[in-house]
Amino acid sequence: MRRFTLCLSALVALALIIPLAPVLAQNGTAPRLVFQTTIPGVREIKFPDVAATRDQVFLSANANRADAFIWQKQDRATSFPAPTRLGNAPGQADYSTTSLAIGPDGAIHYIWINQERRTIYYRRKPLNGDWGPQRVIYAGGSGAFPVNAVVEVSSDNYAYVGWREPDRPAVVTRSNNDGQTWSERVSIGTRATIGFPALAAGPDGTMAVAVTVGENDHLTIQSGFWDGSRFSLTRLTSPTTDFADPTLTFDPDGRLYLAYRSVERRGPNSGIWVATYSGGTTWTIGRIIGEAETFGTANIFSDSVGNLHLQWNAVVDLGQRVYYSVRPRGASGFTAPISAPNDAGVIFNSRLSANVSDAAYAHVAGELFGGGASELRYLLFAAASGADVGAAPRIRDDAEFARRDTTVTVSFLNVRGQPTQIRWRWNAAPSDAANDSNGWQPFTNPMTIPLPESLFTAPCVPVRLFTQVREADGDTSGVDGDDIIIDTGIQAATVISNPYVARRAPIFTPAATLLDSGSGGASDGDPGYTRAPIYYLEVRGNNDCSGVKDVAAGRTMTSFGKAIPIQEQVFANVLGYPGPMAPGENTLVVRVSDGAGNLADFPQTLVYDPIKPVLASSAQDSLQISSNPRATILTTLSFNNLRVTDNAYPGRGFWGVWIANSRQAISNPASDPGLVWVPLPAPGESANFTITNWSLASGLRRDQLTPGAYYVYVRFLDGAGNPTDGFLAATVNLTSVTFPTVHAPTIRR
Amino acid sequence: MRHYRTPTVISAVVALLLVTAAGLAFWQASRSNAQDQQPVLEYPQFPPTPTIGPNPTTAPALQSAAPLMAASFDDPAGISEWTFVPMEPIALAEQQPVWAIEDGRLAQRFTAAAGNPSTLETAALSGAAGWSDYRVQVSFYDLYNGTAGIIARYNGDDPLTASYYRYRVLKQAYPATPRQVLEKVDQGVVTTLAEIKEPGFRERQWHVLAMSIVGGTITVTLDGVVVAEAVDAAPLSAGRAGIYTRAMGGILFDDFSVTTW
Repeated sequence: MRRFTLCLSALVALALIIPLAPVLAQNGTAPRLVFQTTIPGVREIKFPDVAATRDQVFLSANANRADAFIWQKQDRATSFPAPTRLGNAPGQADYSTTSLAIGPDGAIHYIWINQERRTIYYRRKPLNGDWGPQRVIYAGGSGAFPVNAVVEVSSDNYAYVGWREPDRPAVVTRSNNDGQTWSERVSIGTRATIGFPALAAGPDGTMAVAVTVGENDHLTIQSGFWDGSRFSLTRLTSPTTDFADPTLTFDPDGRLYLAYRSVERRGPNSGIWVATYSGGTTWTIGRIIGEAETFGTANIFSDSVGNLHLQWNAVVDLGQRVYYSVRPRGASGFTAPISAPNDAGVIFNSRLSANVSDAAYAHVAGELFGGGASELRYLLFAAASGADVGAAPRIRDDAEFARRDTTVTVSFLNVRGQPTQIRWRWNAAPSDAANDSNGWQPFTNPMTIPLPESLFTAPCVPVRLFTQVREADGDTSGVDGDDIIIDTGIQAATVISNPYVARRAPIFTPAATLLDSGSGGASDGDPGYTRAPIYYLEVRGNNDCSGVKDVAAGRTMTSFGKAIPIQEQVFANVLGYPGPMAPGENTLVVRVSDGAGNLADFPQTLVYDPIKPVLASSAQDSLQISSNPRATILTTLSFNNLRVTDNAYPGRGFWGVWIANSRQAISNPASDPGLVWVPLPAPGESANFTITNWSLASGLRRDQLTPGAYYVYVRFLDGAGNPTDGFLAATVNLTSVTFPTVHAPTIRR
Repeated sequence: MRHYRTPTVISAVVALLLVTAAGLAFWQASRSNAQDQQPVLEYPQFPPTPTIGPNPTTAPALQSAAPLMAASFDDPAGISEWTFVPMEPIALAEQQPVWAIEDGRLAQRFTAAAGNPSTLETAALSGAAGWSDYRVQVSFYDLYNGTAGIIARYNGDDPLTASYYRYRVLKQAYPATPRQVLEKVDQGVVTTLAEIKEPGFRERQWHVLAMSIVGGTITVTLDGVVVAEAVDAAPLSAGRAGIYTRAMGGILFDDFSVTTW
């Protein structure tokens, strides 16, 4: 019983102690200052800004009372190359400030104030693109004085720009068309604000704001979300004491954090505070660090994996320093703060951003005052990235295209930790409330992920797959993603026909020599027939987004021959029928594939007919010829009282006629090598028909076109172009040879 | 006496513990919403801050000197005798520099409202516009501001068009040079009368700064040592005396006096 009492006492003590223990986690190695440097060549810096993405970091600042600059470097690089000048920022530096943000598509959005013009400008640079033109966000005119402008970009790619005028509420406007147009300015709350408004982008297009607002002779922190038309503010702090200079950030799971500082230097309110949004108008507020002379913005920033970085400036003991702490992802508290030596001077008005590459990096930009004009100071902190879990998706092994399908294969690179579950969403970050994976699913590498039918909205659909993985103990990665273009189907036209049809491509794609060319017949016929085991194939890509890739032919939908590559989106040639071709109907299936792997089958029936038709009967008047008096070389051929039989061609037994002209009578036209035979389709379906405008010049030399007798011979063609051996003959005497003339209209100037 | 089975007792104890833990957790959560919490982090340990010692007793400039003004800042109400001005154009109310009398000293206290420090130049002025030849002296103790100065013959209402003599000195830790500059500001136009590259002053110790001006002759002493002298051929005629610094906070002034001879 004593032992039981002892255990009970210990458990009670444990229950009392655990909730009171300080929530200070020390996951991973301690953060450290990697280096700090002063950017050379620029002075009179005020309110610089910083943004980081992937492994790149960008600084923005006005300089020299003249220039709006941007700098870029690789995250670990120890210096910045020369900046790019984006515009004019003249006047007193405090009021010609800059700001920048990076959109979900990697584009850089940059704004700056030209104090002299009282105008806020905007420029945008797409990922891997060039800077776009300068756009005007707000031209205030002589009565205006816009200051403290900031930009942030929502996950649905709206650029939000907030600023204020002295003694008025801050305002916001937004644009999603490269800054060409901006929405009407909307006030953020109703009370005057001081300092910079702070903006933060969350999932599903969420945008949050935080401002310092005067109320009852005190400064309060207020925050709110964009509801589609305005920000509705909630006050976080009591109007009985002073707090100021907030920033806020969303972590990858959509949790919102807000940091601010107390204006008081001593007492229970002093220090740096962090509030966590709990839904509705509720915030859970924690005092992170206590008494000191804190000043400037309290900067908080979540990197892409959820490490929560915190940076502030304070005077402690012997000096004024930059302080930094981080709450690693999965940890319950912030690390002990570290400070940067201030040997080069004092840093004011610092800003923070963070990224994750080989480690989690925090980038701080601030004004450096060393007794003269202010300079641009940059500090790089590194932190272990906490419970390091992650996996970078690669759709189809980083292919450019995916085909229309029910699923797509996704492999994962840079798998960190031991992820056991995954969730995903197409075109937006997954969250508990919205995902396409029906919650968390078992993680495998690679894995097959469904492609919703709703994505297939156009022939070419660029999409991004967002994924998030987590370990069995709940440690969750940030959101990662991969882009691919879905080619939703074959966009192509095909022609499969009689190889001797007249309408064929002018240039053929090189192909194997045919064993049976089918020579000896006419050079035209019914498209559905062939007199040799060959066929004409033409494939033309019709803006297929991945491009038609190859074509194969088979006798059935399950068996195809070797695919023939398609070059420059066109293939045209006469090909051999795959396998033996029996007289009569034969099925041919042509399968076209594109670069994404889409397949399209084009079935066609061809009638193989190697047997000639027979002119079974005719009469003296079966072929009559008459010349056109206005152009005697043109004649009308009238066919009557004849009968043709064919083993394959239905109806009247022939598709057309084969006609040859001669200036002398020929006894056996079918075997005369001097005749030039011209195929013509016979109009209608009857054996009685008329062909107009037959030219007696066809097949004759020009010196043969003289007055006298012209002999016309006609044989009949079946669909495959086989001619009858029997023929009809007719003679016409021309007393003069006249040709058609064309009368062009007279144009007088 | 009723006997309970051991599993029943354990279940009851576990239930009690759970209720206790839940209650404590709820209590903790309730506390977290109040703005009266112990901070979860502490600043790194730095060397102890030196105590601000007493202002060294300063001897009058001359035994025969006649005091025009003396301010020991013992009475906070004495702030009314001073005018505080920004020395650069500003547009925002929260950028107005703030001065205060605290603990018997005149302190620069950053800027208005949010209390942010600023590199904005600022001056505390006192005295009469008709003062001509005099010696102005002040003691200063720099915690982390790094800029101190003294002003004589200040005349004008708008700082941008005012005229005055100013001596300013940087702390030794700042990299910028020159660390000492004596200049004349005539209707806003600055002319350097003398500049000294080195040295600056040392932080966290009391220094005595004085400027004597007779006609066009200006002499500046720092801790009793002449550091700058100049003769202005077209001297400013008269004006108030004052103190110069930046609105960065972290600097104390004491024992301000103006005397004639």
